[in-house]
Parts: sequence; structure tokens; C-alpha cells
Amino acid sequence: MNSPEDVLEHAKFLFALDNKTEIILRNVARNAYYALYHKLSVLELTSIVASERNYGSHELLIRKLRKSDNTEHKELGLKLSSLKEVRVKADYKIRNKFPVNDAYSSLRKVEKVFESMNESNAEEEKNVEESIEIMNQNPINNERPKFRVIK
Amino acid sequence: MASGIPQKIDDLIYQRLNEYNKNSSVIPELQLQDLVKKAKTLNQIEQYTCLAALYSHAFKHKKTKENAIKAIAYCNGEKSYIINASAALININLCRELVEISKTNSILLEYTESRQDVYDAALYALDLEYCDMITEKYGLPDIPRANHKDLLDFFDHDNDLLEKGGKYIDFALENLIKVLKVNSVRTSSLQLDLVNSDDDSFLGLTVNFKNLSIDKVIDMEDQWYSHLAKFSVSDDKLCNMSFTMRDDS
Repeated sequence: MNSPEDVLEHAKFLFALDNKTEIILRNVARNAYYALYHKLSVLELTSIVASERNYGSHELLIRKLRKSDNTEHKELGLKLSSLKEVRVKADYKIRNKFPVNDAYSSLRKVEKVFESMNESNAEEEKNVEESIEIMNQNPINNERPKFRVIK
Repeated sequence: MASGIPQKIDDLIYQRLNEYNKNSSVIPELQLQDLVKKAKTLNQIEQYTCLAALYSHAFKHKKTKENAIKAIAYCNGEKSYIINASAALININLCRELVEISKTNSILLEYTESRQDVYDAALYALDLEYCDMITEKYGLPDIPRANHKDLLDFFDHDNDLLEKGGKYIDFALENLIKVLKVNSVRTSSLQLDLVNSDDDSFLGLTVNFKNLSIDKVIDMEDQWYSHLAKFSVSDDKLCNMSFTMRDDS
């Protein structure tokens, strides 16, 4: 079994190789895109109406993100769309040159998203731990509140 | 130029602006003010054209438009003024404005360079009927990779979708200028591209820069996305439009 992080690590590994061929660069962009796709595919997103569901899983995810009311999700959708375009060029436009900058840029963009998502997850976990600690220090008072008449 | 011969003011202005444009950088404010002062000593037509170029470089929409319109109106159709005025407008993404100006000043379509600018502007404004008129009546030496017929197909010849798509591109270009202004950088080019995969097609708007670090470009793209995320995407077709910044050095 592999995680999105494993896919991203593989993209990094490929980019770190000496004497990178164009095929390797194309694989860096492809793996970076798929790492992000898998990372985002587990987000809880509002589903879109049934009539619109005749899309592939990638298109559906992009549509959900870009039509979302959540600004962060919309930004992620824009990023995924842009990386998908680069990935399609890497996979389908094999007779056109694929520049090293496009491979590096795809990799960095995805790394940044992972860093930021991991940071916010760590922040959430820290907040939960802090709340538990506070609750332990101040056990819930089970006594019913007393009604006081103010005269 | 041989030493000792004073350089013409307009030559100096265009040379300076082109130097900065080449590196995607923006001329410092003090230098800009100095050049504006010099431009104001020129004769009326040269003054309007140079000021349009300077204000366009400095992202000042209103002044660019005012001076470009005056340059076009007073230059008696002289080629160099026409092409510099159209370049000033398109360089600051005043696409709809350039299209509207050309509709009342057909001289802009007489010269190849300004005609190409007007065609490109109409393409970004998704005024595809106007693009068609330009190619049919005047012809174009350089048909872009994604031309008006391709875009018409992408939007399924649907006027409602074309209008929404045009608004989305307007919004993207307007906010692109905000990002460029904050970061004091200029683009080296814009590009519309249609990419087909086995199951779908995408319309990509790519903003190219020269000699900027990739991390800087990625940061600016994030800033652009935070603006773009405010646009409400209602149609699936608009989800197939992508926006990318890249360094093409």
C-alpha cells in the first residue's frame, strides 16, 4: 500500500537523479500531479448534483473543488487544474519539448500544498490535545446551574 | 549610437522600458517620474504615445487609456504611433478597451502589428466574431495556437458560455495586474492554449516571466489564486479553464 506522500517522495527521488532525461522530467510532473490528486481526494467535499456525475474521478474532484463555497478548496482546485494541464502535456505532447522548469515547478507546488496541509493538520491536533488537557484540568461540573433571581 | 550625439527622448524612453520588460522587472518610481517629465517636453503626438507606454509599464490603467486614445486620434494614422499605442493598451491587459477603440478607429487594423494586438485582445475578451472579421477581412500573419475557431468549439458555440468565460478571463487579467503591481514585476508574455487529453479538453491561460526564480513565480501564482477563488464558477466548462504562471527563461 502507498500513500500520497510516497508518490510525492518518488517524484522528488526522480528529480534528484543526475543526468535527468526528458522522460524522467515528464514522470516528475506526472507523479507530482497524482500525489496531489490522491491527497485531495480524501477531503470532505460537498457532492455535486447527480446529473453532473458523468465525469471521470479526476474531473469530478476538480469540479467539486472549484465549485466549492470554501475558498481554500477553490484555490486547491485551481492548482490541481493547472497541474493537470501540465501532466497532460507531459503524457500526451511527447513530441514537444518538456522543460525542466515545468517539472521542478510542478514538484514545488505540490510540496508546498503538502507542507501547508500537514502544518494545519498538526495545528488541529495540537488544538485538540490542548482542549483535552484543559478538560482534564477542569473537570466538567455536573451540578445543575442554579437559577438566581436578581432583584 | 556614437558618443556625443544626444539620444532622442522617445528612443531613450522605449529603450529603458524594453530593458526592464526583458527581465520582467518594473522601472523604479523615480526613474519613471524622470522619464514622464522628459516625455512631457515632446511634441503632442510623441508625448501621448510615450506617456501611454510609460503609464502602461507602471500599471496605471486610466492614464494609459487616455493617452493611447489621444495618440491614435491625433497621429494622422502614422504607423509607429498606432502600433505603440496598441502595444501600451495590450501590455496592461486593457483587452476589451483595445477592441472597443479599434471598432471606432479601423486604422488599428491596417498595420500588421496593431492588427495582431487587436486580434489577441479580442481573443482574450472572447469577442470571437470580431476575431473572425479580422482574419477574414484583413488576414493575420501569426495565427495563435488556440485561435478563435478553436475557442468557439471549446465553448460549444454557446453565447451564454462565451459571455461567462469572457467574464472569467476579464477577472483573471484584472487580478493578474494587481499581483504584478504588488510584486513589481512584468510578464514576458501571455498565452492561451487548448490542451486535449483522451477524455477532455482544457483551455489554459499561461502567464510567462523571464529571469524570475521559480519560487517567486509560485508565490505569485498563489496570490493570483487567492483572488481567482473569489470568482464563482457556475458552469462545468469553466472548471476546464486553468490558470498558470511559469518562468520560460
